Amino acid sequence: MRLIEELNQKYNSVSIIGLAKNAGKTVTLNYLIEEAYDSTIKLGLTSTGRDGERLDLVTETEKPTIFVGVNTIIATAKSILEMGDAGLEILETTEFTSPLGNIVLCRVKAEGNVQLAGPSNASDTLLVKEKMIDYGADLVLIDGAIDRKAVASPRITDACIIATGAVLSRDIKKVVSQTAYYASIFLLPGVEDLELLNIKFQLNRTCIIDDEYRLNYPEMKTSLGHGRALASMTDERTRYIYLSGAVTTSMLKDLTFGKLNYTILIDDGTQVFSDYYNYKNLKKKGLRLEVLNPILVEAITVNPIAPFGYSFPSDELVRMIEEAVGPIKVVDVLGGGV
Amino acid sequence: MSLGKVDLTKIKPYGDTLNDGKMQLSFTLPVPKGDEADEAAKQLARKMGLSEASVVHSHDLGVGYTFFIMYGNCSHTVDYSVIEVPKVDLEFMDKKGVEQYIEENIKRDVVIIGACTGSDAHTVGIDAIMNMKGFDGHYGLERYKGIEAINLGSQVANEELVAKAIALNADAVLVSQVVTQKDVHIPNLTQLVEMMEAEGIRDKIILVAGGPRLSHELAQELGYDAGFGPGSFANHVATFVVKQMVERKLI
Repeated sequence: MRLIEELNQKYNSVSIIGLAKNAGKTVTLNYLIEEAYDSTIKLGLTSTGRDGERLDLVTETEKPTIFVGVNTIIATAKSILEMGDAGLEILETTEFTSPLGNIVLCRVKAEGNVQLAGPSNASDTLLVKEKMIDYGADLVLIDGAIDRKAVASPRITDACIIATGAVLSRDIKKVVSQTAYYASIFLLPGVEDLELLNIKFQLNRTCIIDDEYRLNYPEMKTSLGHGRALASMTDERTRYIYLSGAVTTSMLKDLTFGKLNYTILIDDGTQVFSDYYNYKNLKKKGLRLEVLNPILVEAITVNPIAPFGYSFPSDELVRMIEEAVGPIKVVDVLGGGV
Repeated sequence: MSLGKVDLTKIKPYGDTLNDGKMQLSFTLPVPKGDEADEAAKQLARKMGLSEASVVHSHDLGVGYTFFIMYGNCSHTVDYSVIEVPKVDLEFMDKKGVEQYIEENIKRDVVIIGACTGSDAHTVGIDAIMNMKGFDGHYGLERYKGIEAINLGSQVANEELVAKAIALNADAVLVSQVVTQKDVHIPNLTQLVEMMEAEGIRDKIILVAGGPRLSHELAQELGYDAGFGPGSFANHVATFVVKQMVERKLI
C-alpha cells in the first residue's frame, strides 16, 4: 500500500520533522502530495517555516516547489498568497499572526504551485490543523522548519515522519548514529505502570512521585537550571520524577547519580534537548526515561545527497539506518520506491 | 557627473558613469603573494562576471596567504522593480509614543530580556537596543519609562535564558546573533524556540531575533515573531513588542 493511504487510514494529521536543515522535509512532503494526487484523499497542508520559495534563505540553494491538486486545503501567510500560481479560494482569514502576515485558509480551485508559511508556534498550529479538518481535509500534513520538532508532539499531530539525510555529517556512520539517536528519543517507551497511568491526568507540573504514588511538588517556577535542587528532594522511596518542561543534558546529568531508584517521566520526546554522546553516556549510568504519550514514528525518509556536494550510496544508507532503528519503514524519497 | 535615466528593471553598479558596472571587492586567497597569485585573483574575478578585472592592491598576510583589493566591471543586472522584501509592517512610534502606549494600553511595566546566545560574544547589537545610551541618537530600552529591560550579555545558554524569562515573567525576549561560523546560529536559534515550546511559554512571549544576517523573512522559518536587521533601533523593537502584546492579548 502507498504510504499516503496508510497514513490516511490511521491518522488525521502527520508532521514531517527534519533532523537538520536540507534533510529533505519538503521533498518528503512532495512525495506524499504526489502519492495523494490521483487518489481521493483531500490533503490539508501547512508549514511551521517556509516552503515553496525558490531559494533557501540561509544557504541560497534551490528548494523544491510545491504543486497542489484541486480541493487541497492550505494554511499560509497573507503576504505570500500571491507568490504561487494555483487558483485559490480564500475560506477564512484567521487571527493567527506570523512574520509574513496573518494566516489565511484557502481551498485550491485550480492546480498549481503554492508557497506555505503557517503559524510559527505549536499551539496556533494545532488550532489551524483543526480548522483545516473542519473545512474537509482528510489528512493534514504539517511540514516542520529547519530542525524544529515541537509539532511532532502527540498534543499537536497524531504521527510523524522523520526526514534525515547526508547533510547531517560527511561520515555515513555519524549520519546513522545521529538519526538513530533522534529516532530513539522520539520512540521513548511509554510508561506501563498502571498505577501511575491512573494518576496521569494529575501530572501538570514538575513533581516527585514516591512508591505510594504520592506527588511532591517542588517550589519552583521551572525545573530548568534546578536539576540539583530536584535531585536533593529524592530519597530511597522515590519512584519517578515527572518533568513538565524542557529536559536538557545538564538536567539529565544532575538527576543521574547513585544507584538510581527512579525513572524520569516526561510527556513526550519533543521535550528532550540532549545529544548522541551525552545521552549514550547517561544511559550507561542507568538513566531511565519514559513518556506519558509516545510519539508514533510512521517512517524515516532519507536524502542521500547533501547540498554541499557530497552523497552516500542510497541502498547502503537506507540499510544502515534500517538496522539501527528497528522496525520502522525507511524510504529514500529521491530514489523513490517503498 | 551626468545622471542618465535609470532603468529599474536592469540595474547594475555605478562608478563614474551610469551602468558602467564598476565595483570594488576584497578577499584573501590561500597562496603566497606574487604574479601567480594576482593572476589567480583576476581569473576568479572574471569567473564572477567581472570584466576588466584588475588587482589594485595585494599584500602578504604572512602565512603564505595573500589579501587582494580588486576593481572590475560587473556584467550582470538585477530587476529592482519586482523585488519584494517582507519587513516588520508597522508605523513605528518614538520613545515618547511607546511610553504613552504602554501607559494607556498595557498599564503595567513591560519586561524585556535581551541576550547574545550560544557561542556569540558580540554584544554590539543587543547593547545598541538595550543600553541606556542607545545608539546613533536613539536611546536604548533601559531608558524607557514602563519598560524593565534586562540585558543578560553575551554567550548566554538557551536554557539559562529560558529559565530567566520564566523567573522574571518576561513579556518579550530579544536574541542577538552577530558573528557565528558555519551558520551555527541557525540551530542555536531554533533550539531556543523549541525549548520555549517544551516549557509551554512560546505563545505567551514575544520572541524577537536580531542581527546582520537575520531578516524578518528568516524569522518565520526560525519560529520567531520578528527579525530585525541592521538599521533597527530600540523604538522599532519596542513598538513591535508593545503592539504585539496588545494584539495577541498578552497584557
